[in-house]
Amino acid sequence: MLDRLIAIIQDKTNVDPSTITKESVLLSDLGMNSMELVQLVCDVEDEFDVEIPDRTIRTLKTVGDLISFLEENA
Amino acid sequence: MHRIINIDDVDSTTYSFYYELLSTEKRMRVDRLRFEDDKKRSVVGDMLAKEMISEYCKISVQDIQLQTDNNGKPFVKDLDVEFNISHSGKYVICAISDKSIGVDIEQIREVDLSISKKFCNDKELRYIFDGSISKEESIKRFFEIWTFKEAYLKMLGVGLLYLDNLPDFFKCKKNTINVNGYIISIINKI
Repeated sequence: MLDRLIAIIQDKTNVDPSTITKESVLLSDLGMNSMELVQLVCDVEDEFDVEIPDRTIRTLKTVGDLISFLEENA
Repeated sequence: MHRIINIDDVDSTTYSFYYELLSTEKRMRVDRLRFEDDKKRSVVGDMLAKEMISEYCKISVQDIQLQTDNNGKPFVKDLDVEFNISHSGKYVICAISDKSIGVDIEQIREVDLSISKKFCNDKELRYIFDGSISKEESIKRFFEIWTFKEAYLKMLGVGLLYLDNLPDFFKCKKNTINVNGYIISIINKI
């Protein structure tokens, strides 16, 4: 799951992929802007066939948060 | 008051000066960015904010410490001034005010319009996907709505992606500008 997720994130971020960890903060550490984050959410929903509720999106601060959500819901 | 700058118009000496003024944490974030333009946008954003705050508050740029709160809203320590920064493509914009302010700039570009379902209500979706307009016009409308909502949330300082509590594009006063292939929205607290 982590590899698939990192592949999606890699596509949207401008940092060295090897620096992406579970602790990486999507907006600051990975240099993503909010539109890239919305696109990421849509792509993750398609890739993992899951719906991420609007209220949940703002709680997804790190790569690890996204993994935890997918582990529980995908 | 706002100011826009092309990152390519900043000479290397000025860039280095403002790079050295970055906090250690911010400099580490800049250093991690892979592409030169991303680094430039980040440093030039700080530069623009410091220059405008310096003029507004009549203090030296070296004495200005930009910080961000827990929601990512930027503020300046010990000064009674509000500011907001945004960048896209080659441009960086900074807006400054004595009240809360939010700004967003986006280069009009090819975009996956389907993501608008995540941040638009039914009326806004009909505005974007109006069958009587061209795809170019749909994309322009997409960015009008996006920048408006982004600027609004930045003004509130609640953090980005409050997707369940977004303002209605058609019910709010807004200042949206279309210039040289970019859409800019500036929202000032009334």
